[in-house]
Amino acid sequence: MTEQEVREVVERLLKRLNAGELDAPSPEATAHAPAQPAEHDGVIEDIEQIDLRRQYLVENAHDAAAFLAMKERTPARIGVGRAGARYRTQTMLRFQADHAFAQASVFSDVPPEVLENLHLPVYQTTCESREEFLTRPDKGRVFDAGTLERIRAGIAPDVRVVLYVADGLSSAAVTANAADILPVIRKGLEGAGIKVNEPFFVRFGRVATMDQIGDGLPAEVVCVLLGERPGLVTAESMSAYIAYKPTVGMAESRRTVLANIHRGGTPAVEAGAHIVDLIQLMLEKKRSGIDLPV
Amino acid sequence: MREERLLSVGIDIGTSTTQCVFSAITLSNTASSFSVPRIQITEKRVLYRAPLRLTPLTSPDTIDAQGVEQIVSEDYAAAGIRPEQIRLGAVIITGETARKQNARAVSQALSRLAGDFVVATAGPALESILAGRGSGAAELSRTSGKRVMNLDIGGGTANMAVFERGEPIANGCLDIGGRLLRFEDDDRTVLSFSPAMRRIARDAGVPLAEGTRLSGEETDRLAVRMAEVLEEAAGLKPRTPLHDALCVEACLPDIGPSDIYTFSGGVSECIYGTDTDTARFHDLGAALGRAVASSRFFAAGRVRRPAECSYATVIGAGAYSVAVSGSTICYQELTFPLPSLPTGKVPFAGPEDLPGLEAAVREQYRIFDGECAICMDGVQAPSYALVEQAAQALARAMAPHWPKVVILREDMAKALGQALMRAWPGDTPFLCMDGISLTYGDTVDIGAPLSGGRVIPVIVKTLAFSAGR
Amino acid sequence: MRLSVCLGGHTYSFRDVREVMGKANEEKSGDQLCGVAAQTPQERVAARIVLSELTVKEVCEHPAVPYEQDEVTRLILDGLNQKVYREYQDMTIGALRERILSAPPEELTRMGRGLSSEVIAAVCKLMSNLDLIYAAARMRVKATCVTTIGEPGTLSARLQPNHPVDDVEGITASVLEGLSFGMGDAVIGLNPVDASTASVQAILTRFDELKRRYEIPTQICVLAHVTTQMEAVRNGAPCDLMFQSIAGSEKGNAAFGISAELIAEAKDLMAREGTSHGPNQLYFETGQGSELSSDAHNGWDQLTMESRCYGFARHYAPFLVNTVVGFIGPEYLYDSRQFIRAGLEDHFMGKLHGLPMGCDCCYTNHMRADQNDNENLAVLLASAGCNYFMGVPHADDVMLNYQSTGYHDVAAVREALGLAPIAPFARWLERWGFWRDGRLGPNAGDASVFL
Repeated sequence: MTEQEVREVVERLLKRLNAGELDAPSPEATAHAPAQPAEHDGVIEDIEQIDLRRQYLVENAHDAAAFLAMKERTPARIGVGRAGARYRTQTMLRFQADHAFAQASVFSDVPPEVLENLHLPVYQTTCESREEFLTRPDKGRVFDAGTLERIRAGIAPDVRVVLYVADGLSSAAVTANAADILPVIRKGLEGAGIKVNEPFFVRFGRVATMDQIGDGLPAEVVCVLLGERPGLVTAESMSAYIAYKPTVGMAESRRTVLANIHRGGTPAVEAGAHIVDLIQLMLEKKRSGIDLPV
Repeated sequence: MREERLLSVGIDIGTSTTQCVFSAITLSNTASSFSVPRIQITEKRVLYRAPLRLTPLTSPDTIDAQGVEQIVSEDYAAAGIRPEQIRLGAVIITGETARKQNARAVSQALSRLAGDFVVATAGPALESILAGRGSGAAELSRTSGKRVMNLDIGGGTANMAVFERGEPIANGCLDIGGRLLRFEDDDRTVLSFSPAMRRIARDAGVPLAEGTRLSGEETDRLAVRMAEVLEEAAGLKPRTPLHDALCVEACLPDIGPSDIYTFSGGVSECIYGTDTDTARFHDLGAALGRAVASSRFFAAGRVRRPAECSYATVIGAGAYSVAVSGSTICYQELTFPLPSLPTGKVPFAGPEDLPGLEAAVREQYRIFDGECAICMDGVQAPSYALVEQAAQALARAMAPHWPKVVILREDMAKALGQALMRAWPGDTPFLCMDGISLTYGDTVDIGAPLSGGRVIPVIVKTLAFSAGR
Repeated sequence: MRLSVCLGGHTYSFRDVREVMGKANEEKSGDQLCGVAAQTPQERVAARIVLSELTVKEVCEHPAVPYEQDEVTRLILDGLNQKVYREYQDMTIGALRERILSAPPEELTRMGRGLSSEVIAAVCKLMSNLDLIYAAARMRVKATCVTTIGEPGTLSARLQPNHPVDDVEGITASVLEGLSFGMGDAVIGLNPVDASTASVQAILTRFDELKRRYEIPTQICVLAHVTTQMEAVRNGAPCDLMFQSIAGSEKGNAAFGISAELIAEAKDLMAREGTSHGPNQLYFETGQGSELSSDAHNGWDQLTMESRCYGFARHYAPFLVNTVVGFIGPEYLYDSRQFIRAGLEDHFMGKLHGLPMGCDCCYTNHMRADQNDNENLAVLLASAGCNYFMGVPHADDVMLNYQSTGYHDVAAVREALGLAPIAPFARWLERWGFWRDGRLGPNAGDASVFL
């Protein structure tokens, strides 16, 4: 059976299950269910693809068009109607789906093949598990001595800009954006004659890992691209934190932050191109964060 | 920088009157903190509207260029604004006037007064849209969620634009206006009339000749027929051959009725009954206004009075003609402004368009004799590989040409621009910007960068819109 | 003071009141991060046994931050009613728990005036979840700004129309829809992105316009920093209610850029320049863990520090106080079990302090929690007589990127538990067809009736 056929069988079963025709099948039963003659109507539309700004579900509205025009000005989930005092099924399911994607991006690792395809060596902070990463921010900021040594050994002395990726609070952000943003930044800087290291990946990494990595290196600028805490609007949002000569214990205000990098925000390639300009400005002005006039 | 205020001027030289309006346009960064800046026009405010003046003519076919310059100079003085304070300017020569022989000479005479940015001579399509925006019809369509049609009826033409969600979806122009027929001071004896008027009169069965006197009933019959043609254009009545004969350049596409109709332009004051001194023009304006007021437009109960009537076009010209590019763009070594650049649109909306891209760009340069902006839709959140390959194709095709200008709709210009920069010799002048949506055949005026060089102001001079855009 | 106990043959000894207080808490990741949590469930119970034998006096005399060092401590202790305190000072915390669970409501109100924040935290640690609900349900606290909230039988809502870039039209759209679901009787209050005074003024002005145009009986607020709001008020902006986040120590408040003096000044300004008559014109938000995150906890557990927020707050007679319980993240409250517990604790402690408590029942996406857990907390707190919840479009705050209670959630809790918006607001809703016969009316959810 092809993957497609399997999917169709499962969907058909779920449909009958929802209609109360069947008891819940055990996983084995589902997997071994014989292929039935096709009576399906194809795949159910992906609710994640619905543009919520254009969706209006109030029944018998006094002036749907006028409200829809107002609704265009906000990403808030309004104009959603109601079932009694509760949510309509469609918006409830969309909310649950968005939450599922958000949680998956927090609680899962970046798939190893994604990192392999990007040729990113992997280093890990002192956190041993994702749970520890989430509950011990102090451990997610530092490396043990050996790891730090290996990271810094991989950065040539003439490198001016250190660029790396960390999972932060969203693995999905890395998966969605790293492949497009990394080469734009590297090519852009190298095109301007600025040497960049071979980027790497930090697992269980928080922003302040850049402090330990950059402290004492000859490189001038450190830039980490990491996954933001996901909201329901997107789980794929990445932030760039960039600092001129970061040091352990420095003020947060010395970081220049660029957030909201994702398909629906600033696209990865444009953010990358913007970061190229920002880093050049930092190298010229020799400062970052609130001290950098932008 | 979070906010920047720019002064703009709109100058409208119409068939019967000349108007001048000064506005303040506010540019703000609307992005949240810690994001890539997004500079947008956030406020447009009229600072001063000069009084209406009769357009000075040296003969029926020639505008008095010096006279116009004199009027506008006086308006600047009255507004307390010096020409060098103007960062954005637009001269619009409307309707019949644009067809007068020295229109271009006039606009050139005024360029000193309109700042160093843009002097535009509008065609009927742009005028229609500017009137619709300036009247407030476009905004009404956005806030109401309804389809709104604005009819700007002046002396020589009726400019019509239909808006949905704040954007124009169709426009058209008819040879219908208050001044197609002029009377002697008695308001009865025909002084002169246009060829279009002759058609209308023939259709309405009213004999027309200079020096003859028209009865009140005949005058009304002419006006009613003109109002009917407007109804036909607006989808309230089946179209007749006269409608088609009166279309200027292109007819308004037949897209059916609109939810709301608004009227602007000089005749609108007569429609809404707000002009109490209608006799001074000695033309058909007052009769046309009354005819529209008792037409199907009002019977359908869909007419609203827009925020601006008489000044709609000039406010549109001054405050609504300029768009700004996206805020992540790329340019170097260019001298601005770049006036009146035709745009050659090439298909590029995804990887499937890559193979034909280079040839398509070369073809546009061939069509426009080697000088045009290359415009494309572009791709939302493109991959790095796509940007790189597109840059290679564009770099080859654009290499021999000047100026090198790429305009995209989707947000990708900075990445593409940086890739182009690497593909060409280091100091090659070029501009690559996004956030501007163009249709084939649009002409653009590109101004000097604003807001610390982050954005580029652009006036899109639309030639035609197709329905449903 | 007896700080040792034998439990199941094992002797547990604690160094001081601080260690007992930390280890007596229900499991919280923030206490673990801080290093004050019990190592085992047995140790936790042992600490509670010790705590139950301590007297009110013993706990009161061991404030989390010394009196000389900390103005919050001074406000708490100097503000106690000494007569009431003396009545309870020799009671053990265990006996105090039983007194709270059996005393009539009037006594609870009076009792709170004599209990320090540490004592209230201590008794909270001995309460089960249902204890917290049961005790809080008998304490109703009313407060008056423009309208009065906290009447028995009511459940109010703050209408929270947040927007990622403060677009006034977008905010208005969310406000109108919220009103149509009966939200906003506590306050119409926005968390702004742009902290500039001009932006705060612009939003306040819009809220005021809406309030006047539709004659809405409520109060308005923009939750910027108190100094920004004060500047806006001095510039003439309409403001019914002034907001500030607060902490349970002077150092924690300093991290928020405030002090007791500044809040007093804000209260005074509102009395003179506010657009409401009061007397309650301030709005405070709190949340367990904020002191630890600014290293202002002095080695104490997050529950005790949270209780001290309420001790600080009551000095200023606020109109609204709520914990933003699950906003701070999993390093302080790891999962649904922890944030549900914290929500019940905070509500109880605030009430016993005599505060008109609401709650932002909420969670972030990096906590082990989901909307079902949040709905559970809302129902529990509504049963406990909570004054108000947040009303957020479909529970998803698109600016702060967390999930709270939605318009529909508050409306459903009201209907399910027979609660109503406050009377003047309910009458206003009835006029628009948003509320009828104790439940949502025919126009509920259709904000286009306003257009």
